[in-house]
Amino acid sequence: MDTLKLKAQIIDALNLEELTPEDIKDETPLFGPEGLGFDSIDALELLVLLEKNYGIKFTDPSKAKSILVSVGEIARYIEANK
Amino acid sequence: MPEWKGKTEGGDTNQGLLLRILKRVDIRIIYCFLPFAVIYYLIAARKRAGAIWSYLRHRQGFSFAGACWGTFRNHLLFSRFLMDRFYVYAGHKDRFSVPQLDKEVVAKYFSTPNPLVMVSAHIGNFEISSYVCGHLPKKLNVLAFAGETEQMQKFRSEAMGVNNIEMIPVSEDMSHIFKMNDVIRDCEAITMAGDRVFTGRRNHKFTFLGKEAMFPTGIYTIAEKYNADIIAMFILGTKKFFHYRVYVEPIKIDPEIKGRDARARAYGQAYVSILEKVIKENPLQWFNFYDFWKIEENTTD
Repeated sequence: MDTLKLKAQIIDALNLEELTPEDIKDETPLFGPEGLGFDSIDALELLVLLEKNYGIKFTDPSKAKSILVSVGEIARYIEANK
Repeated sequence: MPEWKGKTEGGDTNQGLLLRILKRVDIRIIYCFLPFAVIYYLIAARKRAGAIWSYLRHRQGFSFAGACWGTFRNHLLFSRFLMDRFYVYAGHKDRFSVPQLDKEVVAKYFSTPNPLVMVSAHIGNFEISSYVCGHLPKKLNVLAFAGETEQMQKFRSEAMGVNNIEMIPVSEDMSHIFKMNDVIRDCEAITMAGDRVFTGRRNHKFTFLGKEAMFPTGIYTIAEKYNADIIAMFILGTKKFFHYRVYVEPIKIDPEIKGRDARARAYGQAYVSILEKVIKENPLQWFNFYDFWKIEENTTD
């Protein structure tokens, strides 16, 4: 899957004006101080994005948490659930 | 974070004991003891009392002595409201009256196909409305701190369950986020405090009672995305025991405002204006027992 496109969608959805898709590495952690520092509202925005753009609806929070860790992980999940 | 941790005082044992007493004793007898408990508490928890004194003196313009007396009355009101909640837990909800929501409000916000985001604050006694109000056309979900003891959460869940109201505890593992997503997508109603700041970048400074304070704005972005109706709703105590009143006002912004961040800020400003108006009319019902105007570095906009 084209992760650059997904990164652009995330930047747009989360209003991360200071970032470009190239700035985000596939395996950069989305949450936590060592990564992009996303917060709980960002997580909610990601859920909305994945549901609206890819039809992905998480029913199990622990499963979702294991996927919303990096762009690469999300891309792999989208690819596997096409 | 300089904030109240959302935890009711007393452990499981004390709360259980209080509940047993309230099942048998008229609450007005308990009210008689509250002034003594408050005096003890003001001495034992001077820092919290100081935050209220400072709020009354500097933000509400009370005199020195007025702020001292106001701090006592604020704590007395808070303890009364807390006892009222326990009295409901003890099975006496019929003693209380919270006027049912205006039919027009119910028709306008609770009977539409849109989700409803109700933004409250740590003023008055919002929780009691959840127990006393009758069934609403939409399921109501209450986002609340998970810091309470298991006992308190059990009391709340039991009292809320009868009215088709569900508690969503805020938790470190963010499981509440998934629940919030479901709730908004399913066009239910959700209520949350608009005066609690979480670490992150979704907070903005607004002038509130003459000084800048930080308020969260992230939820407005999400609400707009789902085309939710957004209202401010507060339940305020009255001079009469057992009687509360409802304040509802839509949080509206200029539809011409463009840009997600600008719109979220505008919603935040609109909410702060409503909150300011309500708290100026009810200065003693402010229950944020910390320096609300202290701005932490990790919450700057």
